[in-house]
Amino acid sequence: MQALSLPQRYAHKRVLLAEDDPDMRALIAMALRADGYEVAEARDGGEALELLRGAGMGGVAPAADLVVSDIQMPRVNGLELLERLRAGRVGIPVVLVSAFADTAVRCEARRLGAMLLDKPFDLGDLLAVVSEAMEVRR
Amino acid sequence: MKFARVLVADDNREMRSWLREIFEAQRATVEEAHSGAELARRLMHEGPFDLVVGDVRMSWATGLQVLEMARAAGNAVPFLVITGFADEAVRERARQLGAELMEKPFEAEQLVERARRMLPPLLARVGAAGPLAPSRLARQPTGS
Repeated sequence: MQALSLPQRYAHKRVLLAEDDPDMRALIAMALRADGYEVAEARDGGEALELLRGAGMGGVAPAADLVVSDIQMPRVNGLELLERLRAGRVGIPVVLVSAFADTAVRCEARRLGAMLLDKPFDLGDLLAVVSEAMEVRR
Repeated sequence: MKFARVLVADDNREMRSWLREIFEAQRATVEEAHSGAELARRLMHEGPFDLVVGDVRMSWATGLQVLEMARAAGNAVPFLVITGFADEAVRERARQLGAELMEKPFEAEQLVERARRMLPPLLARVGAAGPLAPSRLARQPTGS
């Protein structure tokens, strides 16, 4: 696992994490925090959008530098979250994670500029993908 | 161990049940995690615990990965790593993270003795149930 051994180049970078499974949300948040990120947690895509709107996303002050989101979630799923961000001309990097991403979902995610990570994943792989997506933003 | 709160984490249900019975026989309060992800959630949101007994190999994250992240978050809970695959790297990592390690298979009495040493002295003594009755509890379930 790469947590703690990676150089913490992204300290104070903010990640918005949307995941409906409480265990997975806790694990991913814990891994991101151990790697130096600040993490805001949302239970689904709708809550993620509320957090982004509440902090002015799409306005002046971005609420997060990157979004990590599960795809299968109630209310607003990860792909819909991505579509709504792009429809609002929000170009924030998005990393989608899923155990059930079919070809259509993969194509749509790619078209909208998201990175996709299959579940189950190694925590080191997740941190590497997040780091790579942060690089794209820089 | 009457007032001790123990979290047992193992992906094997029989092993979790066995660990639960051992600690409940010592009058501790026991909670379970069946994966590395659940261990992470319980540690972060349902603590504090007085002792964690955790397997290395679990789904989503190993016990050592979760322990490493918990330490990074400032969680100093006593952690007993239990594993059937203790190579030198695992031993060294556990040592670095301030955890103790116990190799499977072990007997209930050995676990209780080790847990007593790891718990704060008052918690280890209060309501101590004495020696375990020689029963089905004494030996670890096979295949776990």
